[in-house]
Amino acid sequence: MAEGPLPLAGLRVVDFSVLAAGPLTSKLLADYGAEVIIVESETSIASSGGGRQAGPPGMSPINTAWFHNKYNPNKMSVTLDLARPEGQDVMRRLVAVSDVFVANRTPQVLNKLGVSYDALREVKPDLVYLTMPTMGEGGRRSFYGGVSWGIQAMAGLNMISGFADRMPTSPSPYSHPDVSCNPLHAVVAILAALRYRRRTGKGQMIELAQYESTICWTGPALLQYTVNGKLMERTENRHPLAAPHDVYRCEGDDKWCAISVFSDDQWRALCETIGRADLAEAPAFASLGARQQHEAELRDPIEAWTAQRAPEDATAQLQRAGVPAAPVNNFEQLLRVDPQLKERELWTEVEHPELGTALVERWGFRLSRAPAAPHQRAPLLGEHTDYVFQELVGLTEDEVNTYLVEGVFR
Amino acid sequence: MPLGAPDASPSALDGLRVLDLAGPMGAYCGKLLADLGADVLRIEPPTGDPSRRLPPYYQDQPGLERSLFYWHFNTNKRGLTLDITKPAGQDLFLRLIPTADVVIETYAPGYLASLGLGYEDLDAINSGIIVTSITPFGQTGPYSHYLGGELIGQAAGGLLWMCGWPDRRPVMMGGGPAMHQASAEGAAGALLALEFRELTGRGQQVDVSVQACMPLTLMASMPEYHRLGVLRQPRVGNFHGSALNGMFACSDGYADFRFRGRPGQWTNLVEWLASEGMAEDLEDEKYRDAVFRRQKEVYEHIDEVFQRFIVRYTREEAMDLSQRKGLEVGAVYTAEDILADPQLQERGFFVDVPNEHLGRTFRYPGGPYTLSETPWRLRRRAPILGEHNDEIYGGELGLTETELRGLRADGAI
Repeated sequence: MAEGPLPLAGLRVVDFSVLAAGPLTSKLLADYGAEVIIVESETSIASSGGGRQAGPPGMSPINTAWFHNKYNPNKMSVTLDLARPEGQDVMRRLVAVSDVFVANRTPQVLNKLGVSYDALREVKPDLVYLTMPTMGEGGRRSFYGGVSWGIQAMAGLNMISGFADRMPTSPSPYSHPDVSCNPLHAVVAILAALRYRRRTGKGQMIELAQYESTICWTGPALLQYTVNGKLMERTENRHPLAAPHDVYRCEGDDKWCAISVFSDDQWRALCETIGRADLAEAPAFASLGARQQHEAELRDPIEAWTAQRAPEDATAQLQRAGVPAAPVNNFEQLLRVDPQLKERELWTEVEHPELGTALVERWGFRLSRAPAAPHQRAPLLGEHTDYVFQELVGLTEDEVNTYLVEGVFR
Repeated sequence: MPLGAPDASPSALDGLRVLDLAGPMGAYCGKLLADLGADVLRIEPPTGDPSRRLPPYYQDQPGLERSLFYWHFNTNKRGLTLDITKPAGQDLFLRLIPTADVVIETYAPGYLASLGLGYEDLDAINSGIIVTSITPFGQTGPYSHYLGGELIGQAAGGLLWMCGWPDRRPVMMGGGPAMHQASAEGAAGALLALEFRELTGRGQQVDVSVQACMPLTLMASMPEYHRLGVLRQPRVGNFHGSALNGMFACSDGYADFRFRGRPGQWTNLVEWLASEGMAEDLEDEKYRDAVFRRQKEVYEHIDEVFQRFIVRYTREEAMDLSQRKGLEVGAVYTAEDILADPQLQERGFFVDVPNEHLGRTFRYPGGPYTLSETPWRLRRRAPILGEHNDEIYGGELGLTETELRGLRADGAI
């Protein structure tokens, strides 16, 4: 299909967020055509680092950091000291010519730096303003700082994941809500608010309390308690309507294949594929209920077959027979082996002045008429000072130079 | 927050119509749009959508109107039945297309086209139509015909390999993160396509791959692997490689402490322990050095001292005291704890939704966000099977009683 304009062409976003949830929100907007300006400061990078603090060994992390380069492609960077009144004035002038403001600092910090919703709507009445506090305004925990491991624990994810005989640790080693529900919910809310603004001319404030946003990904577990008074269990890899439903060891070091058998047809196909048609006839496995009861007994016969095959080969044979299966992909398999992700061009390399090349990642969806913008590498710190402050804000070259010398742009 | 409180404020997605054909993998996509005000018509086969058969069930008894999964993911939607495999059902579906902005579907790639209901067919009737297709691997490519599900999505997308303990097999994350992620990306894609339609007048297809959604959750691992060529240690269990980073036992359960070593944090921590006479040797100058603290025997010792200290507190006390000292922590909660959390009650997070058929009111989670002008809200419970057939087919499309009876007799609705 013919390519059209980028969906968010003409939209300008001021991104005053750090680390992951906020930057990923604005990355999606940037990838689809919005002009996104990250407002950073050398002072806060020095004290807390943000997304620019950890990168390849032996390199200064400021421009090479992993998070910065993954989360900030297609954006511009300026530095601005909001502790100074001149800095706050420039910020207000930038917001006045922008459409969306994204923040994930605490409400106290936003107030102190003059970038609360009330302060910014004065200069841009139809602004769409997103704030992502841990707990949200009001309520006794509103002062809580957060990292999303704690948010994930409070939202109940640890207690419905993993092995019931072990402590309820973080389900993944990652701060999952930061890189899933929180940015994606934020994008949905911003795009909905922009649609409303187009129809009515009105902006608004969106508050995404990260604790509540994360709870929203556990709906059935909550209803199980509020409706039935029961707690959902930690069920390893089991599924209430499928068996066998687990991962099985394959040939190679720490290689696995996931198999999900939902129907009796799939069960028979699995048995034939692994050369154990006898199991399909056995009463112990004749129905879903029977297979669930005896699921542990199926590990050996299935692994006797999978352990002799690479996960990709086991998957191909099982899928050809109509059995849902997939390799448990590690990073090497994802990036170098998986033909489907190659076909989708999920990752591409871009040139980078300090890294040489940087890896950039697309989203899980593709639009048939509006491909994402080709990735531009993440910006160097303060790279777009002249463009943003002269062309967008309207400062003269002399003013920009004065502010640079006086440390307002730092 | 009461359900359907008199509230004249508008919704962000007022006037947007969505035809929702999605199975479980796409159920959350339509809910996100419906809860922001879109008119979502949930279209199911006359025998009911597969998600009506998913547990948990009301009073633990299966039944088409008893799936709590269905209850949760279909709030604010109106319910239609329609058999898309029958010509009369297809005709009815096509008659709804001119009224619709977005279609959400999760069928195998090519299936709807084989019925004459593919994107190209719908586009010929309504050139502004947006079709969000959520499938395990996407519409094209060598795996596009592969079957999937939550486990397959987490596996193929790279999350599963990282989850669990070093001495055991990978174990999936609960709650359906792959399903939620794909649905939310589908909603984001549909809203972007609406922006594109404003610019060009044209609709399009949004092709969501569950697999391709998952690497977003791997944080820096992919760029790290790309540059360094080494795999991170997978499945670290509760081992996080530095002091105060992971689960600690409190007197009534666990809490997840994440000590990031910001300036001042170590001092605050040691002062706190010392004030209760439990700092042991941690006041020693050598511990102030963050590099020193990263040695295995050193952080293990710190963790033991802290464990002896914090286990005297409840989760609630430990969390509150730590947060007041600038140390980030979250208690490990169950659904019961979440329902009892005064923070959420004070914020009015939960919504009580009446179900007149069961004569009861049920408590649902509220919204993931608040919008100051266009509130997120629950207006109605999930529909019972075919609840709005007469309203839409009769009232809106103008079918007569006789025609509706004929469709029912044919099993088309």
